[in-house]
Amino acid sequence: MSDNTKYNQPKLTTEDVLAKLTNASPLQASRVLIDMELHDQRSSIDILEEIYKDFEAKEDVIDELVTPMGLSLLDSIITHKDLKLNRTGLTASRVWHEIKGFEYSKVAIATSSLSSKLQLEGLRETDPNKRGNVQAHKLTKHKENSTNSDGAIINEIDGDRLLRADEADSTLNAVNTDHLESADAYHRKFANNIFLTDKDMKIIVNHDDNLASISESQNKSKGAGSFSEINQKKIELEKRFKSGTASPKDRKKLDEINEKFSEGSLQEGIKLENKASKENLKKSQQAAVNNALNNKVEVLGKAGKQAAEQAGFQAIGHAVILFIKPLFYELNDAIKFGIDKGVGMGSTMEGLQFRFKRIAEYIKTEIIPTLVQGVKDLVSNFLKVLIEGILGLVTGLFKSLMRIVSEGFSALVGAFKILRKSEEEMSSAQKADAILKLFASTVVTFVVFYFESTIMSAIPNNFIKDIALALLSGVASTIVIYILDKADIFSTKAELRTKRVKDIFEMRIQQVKENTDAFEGASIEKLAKDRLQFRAISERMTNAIDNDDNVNSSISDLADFMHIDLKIKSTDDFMHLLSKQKTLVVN
Amino acid sequence: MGLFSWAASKCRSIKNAVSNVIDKVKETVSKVWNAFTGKYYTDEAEAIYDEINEKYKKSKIEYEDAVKIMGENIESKISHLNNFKSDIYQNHFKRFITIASRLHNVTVQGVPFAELFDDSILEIKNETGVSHKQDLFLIDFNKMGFLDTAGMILTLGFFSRKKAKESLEKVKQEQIRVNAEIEAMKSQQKKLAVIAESIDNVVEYFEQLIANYEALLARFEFGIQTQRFKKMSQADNVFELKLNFKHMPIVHIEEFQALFNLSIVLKQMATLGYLNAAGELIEDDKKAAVSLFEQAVALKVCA
Repeated sequence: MSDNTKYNQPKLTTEDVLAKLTNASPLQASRVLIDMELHDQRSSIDILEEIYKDFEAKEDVIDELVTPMGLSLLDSIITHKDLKLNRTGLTASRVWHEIKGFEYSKVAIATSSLSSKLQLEGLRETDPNKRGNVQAHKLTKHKENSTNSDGAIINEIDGDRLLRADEADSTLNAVNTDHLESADAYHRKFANNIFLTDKDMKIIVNHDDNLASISESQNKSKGAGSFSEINQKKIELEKRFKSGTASPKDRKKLDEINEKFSEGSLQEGIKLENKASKENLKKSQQAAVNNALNNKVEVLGKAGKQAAEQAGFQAIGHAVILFIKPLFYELNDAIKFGIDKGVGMGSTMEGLQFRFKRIAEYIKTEIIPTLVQGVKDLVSNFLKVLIEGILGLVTGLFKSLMRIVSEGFSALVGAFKILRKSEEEMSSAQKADAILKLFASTVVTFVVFYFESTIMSAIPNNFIKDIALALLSGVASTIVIYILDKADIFSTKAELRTKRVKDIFEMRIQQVKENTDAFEGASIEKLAKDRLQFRAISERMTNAIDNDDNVNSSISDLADFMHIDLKIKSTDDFMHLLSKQKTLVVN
Repeated sequence: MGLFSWAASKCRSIKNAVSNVIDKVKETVSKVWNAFTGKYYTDEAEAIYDEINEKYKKSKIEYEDAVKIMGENIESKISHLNNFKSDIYQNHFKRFITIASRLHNVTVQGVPFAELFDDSILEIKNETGVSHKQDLFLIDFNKMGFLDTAGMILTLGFFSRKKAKESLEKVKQEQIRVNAEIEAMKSQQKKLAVIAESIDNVVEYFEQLIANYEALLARFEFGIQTQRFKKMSQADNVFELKLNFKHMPIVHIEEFQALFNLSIVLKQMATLGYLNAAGELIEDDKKAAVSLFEQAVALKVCA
């Protein structure tokens, strides 16, 4: 359950009360006591409202129901007997973690996730800086091919004439062959890809498409970085000059960049860079799929009889998981913020259509292009069918809501029985799992019926059918649970809310009781002690007065008791004061 | 007669049986009806609502009475303390200055602090009573028109049941909240009792110390007078009023010292607020302080 600390009452212990009273003069006891808080000043109505608000936040529904459901769905895909994605180091929880972090604005990562994450990270040690990654002979060849008849080489970013190192007179006109996407950057991206061999990567990174002639000084500035990084730096420096916050060092840096890169050359460099990087990706994918299909690589180091087919299946499996990300993102988002309101739509159907359109768009622009023909065809067909299927399913579910509710009544009763079980009996994950299975037997029958008769026949492969059904049942169950939660037929929400209100207020009441007991016990004891102590002092004082004894020691005790600092402690002090001051001042 | 009476009694018993059956049917029907519409939820809610209202009212009256009694009690003590304070300045300090002036000039700074009693500091802030019924009950079966009833039947009692159940839960939550309010009131009553007790202590401090101060002053005055007589009998100039402290027996110097220090303690006590810092300076006492000071200066001039 969520955090209760914000509803806590202040805590007051006997020790606190005693310490506060002991530190103050007994004369101030009443004020100290008044200032002690036995309960906070928050109005109970405000607290009730806050509990309501917390309750509406819905995080719990997602965590308690959707997460285990998503996990079991992913698990069924990952451990599917034909796909065996689990062998590639993929786990349901890892994928779920990625799904939870999914955002459309971060789609740029998707491409790299195909290259690095998807292609099974951690299976191979990466060594991006290895010298062997650069093939010198190819660089030389590139230089030879680019040399003009007069022996000069044209700088590909600024059009200047460059010469070979032995003929050039400075780094400014000496030619360097630059890796547009640096070998370092490329290897960082692809070295984890088990479908790519070292040789593939070397060929791609040293390919003519990835090489360009630039001056040595330019190349030194760039290092393992990129033209866009230099450009970024330039813009930043210029901004600093405009705002007047630049240092002399900044001036030097900017001058250096301007000296090396003439007007427009960085833009040209960036253009080449982007093109090369795209080419590299394309080549890598092609190589990866060729390898996968031609059984060139040993998946997970296991050269296998089934490896070829396996790798192909796995590529499809990964693509499916890529697809699940936006799908679950939409489901989570819809549950949290409402199917329609979450995306600013007027009705549930509009909201659904918007959401699925968004998924389709994402798949079209971000997933499909990263796949290669063959896999691409299969996946795009599959996804098209699946999205249509889900849309139809959801529409069907909403249309036959009453039928589901009535037919699934026994399942519902069962589900609530499960929900009511205590934590010790059944964890929330177990509950969700049990409910999922329960619904699988009711709702999903309906779904399967619907699909088998319509779309499923269009899907060829057996395992794809399994995945499709797993996905659909997951989505269907989530939606049904969402609807149940919204409809709240048995007002369980209200009941749960009461339970929460009860927990919190009981905790607060208990604390007030404890505080009051501590306050009462400690202060009454301390007050009684004070009274006795004072009476003893006062009695000594009275006796001394009556018996013509010296009263001063009892007055000094009294002052100590009341935390009053007397300057005159002895009769000598007093005599001294009398002789020094014409008027004594009582202050 | 026999036959008639038999028939009559048979009739009666049949009639009774029938009416019993009708009652039974009525009862059963109403039970089913209430379950169907969810009315039994609101019935329960009504019962709880009445109960919390009753409980809250009782606690509130108890609390208010307690606050009133204890407030009055504390208020009277505070006014008692205020009297002590001005008494200390107006009588006791005045007397001390006069007596001491035979020996040495004394002034007292400051003015007594008259504390204002504000009972709001004894009350709970942000206290909220039982919410209004219409804020808790989402449905009222007693105020249902024909259309509402028809709608209820058509929707299989779905919505009325839900609303009734939610009303019940709301009332249950209100019950829990009101319990917390009642607990706060109980706690406050205990707090007030302890505060009243702490004020009792202060009252006792004042009483005892003022008594001791008076006794000590009397002892000191007697000593000074004795010394004056002694001095007068020895001296030629009977108008020489000031005594030289250096020639005084140490016991009187010790008394003077004790009175001086005890005055400091009493001055602290008289210028302090005991419940909070809110209060006002007593105008008359301010004047009195000035006049005390002037008196002291005048005596000095005399001496």
